[in-house]
Amino acid sequence: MKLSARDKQRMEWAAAGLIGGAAVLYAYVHLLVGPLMQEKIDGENKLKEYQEQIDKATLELRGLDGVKNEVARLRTDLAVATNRYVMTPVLGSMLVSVQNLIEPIAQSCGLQLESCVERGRMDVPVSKKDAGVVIERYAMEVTAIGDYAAVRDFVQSLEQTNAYLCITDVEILGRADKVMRHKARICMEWPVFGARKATEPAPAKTTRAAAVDRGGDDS
Amino acid sequence: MTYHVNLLLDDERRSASRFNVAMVLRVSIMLGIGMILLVTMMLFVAGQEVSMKVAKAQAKWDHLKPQYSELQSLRRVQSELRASSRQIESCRLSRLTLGAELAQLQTGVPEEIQLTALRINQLVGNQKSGAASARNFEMHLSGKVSSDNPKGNVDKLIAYLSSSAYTGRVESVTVPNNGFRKETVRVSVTETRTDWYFELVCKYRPRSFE
Repeated sequence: MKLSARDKQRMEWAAAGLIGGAAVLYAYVHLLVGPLMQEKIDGENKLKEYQEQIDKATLELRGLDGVKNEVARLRTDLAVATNRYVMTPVLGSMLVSVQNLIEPIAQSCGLQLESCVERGRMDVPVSKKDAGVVIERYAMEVTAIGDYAAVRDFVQSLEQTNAYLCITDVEILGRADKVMRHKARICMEWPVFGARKATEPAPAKTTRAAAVDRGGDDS
Repeated sequence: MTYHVNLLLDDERRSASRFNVAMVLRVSIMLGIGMILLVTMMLFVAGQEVSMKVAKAQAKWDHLKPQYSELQSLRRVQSELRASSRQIESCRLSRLTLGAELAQLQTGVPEEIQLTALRINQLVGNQKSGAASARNFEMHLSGKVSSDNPKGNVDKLIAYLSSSAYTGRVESVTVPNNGFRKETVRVSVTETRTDWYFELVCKYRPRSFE
């Protein structure tokens, strides 16, 4: 079929219109609708993020008073425990500090102290992650002469003096020549402040190695 | 025979319909433009609404943030204090009060038994892999029995160490190999005396640090 000149022109206009329309639509979608949609989506995401943060914060803030109370309680407990029970050195020596404490107790129990020997520091084998205060075990050994009751009273008194002290070894050997004068060896571990901060990554081996160097008996 | 004469040229033809192509096209273009404007406006309004909501949420968050930051820092302090407390508490939890053990033992040893040596020692370690470290205490007793029934008296001591007085603390009481033996002692030229010696190992339950 042969088209007339007018139809041909119409067809050309129609094609140009279609192409132009498509170009305008494309430009509209890409330059206006796209950015607007993106802005809306970004806004919605941001809103969702804020909402989640707000919900989480609101929920957690309900427990703020509880956390405050617990922090206060923990602070008090820790202060009481560390001030009363964690040994601090006297004249730079932990041994002097411990001797000052145990000598009067031994005397009052009728136990004759023969020697006090330092056995070094050891780690407390619990996680120290986050801990602001690092506690270590300061080991020492006491040899003494006395009867069974004196040793028992001495050990009991020491344990009552410090709830965090651990008597680790007790050896009582009878002597054939002096029946009521046994030889006793008592090992104990006192809680002391660690030499390093928990935030400093120092391997536990260092302390253990030091304990071994000083003759510690940590197993 | 009927003749149909068409004097109109093709380009002079007009549709009798009121909706011609040009009009439909014009209306479609106008509708299209209207739709575009409407969609644009809707999107703009929706965007504005979202922006307003975001601004409101941001204001609310800005109001909550200082309190939340305070809570976070308190939580850090709390976990620091807990970790410190756990360390010091582990010293108390893991200990076995040996003073009480010595007192308890004194009341239960039969009169016929004379203890010659007592040794309590600890070993720090894990009972099972992955388990928390614990203090493992052991009490070694050595003694002499001078009676007609030495075995019976040692059994009495074992029974005492396994009795309710030690429930929850003692895990096992055993006599090691060659832990019960007799020795003959010459008292005078003609007289000899037989003494029975024993050894006991009393193993305590592990005292965990955690």
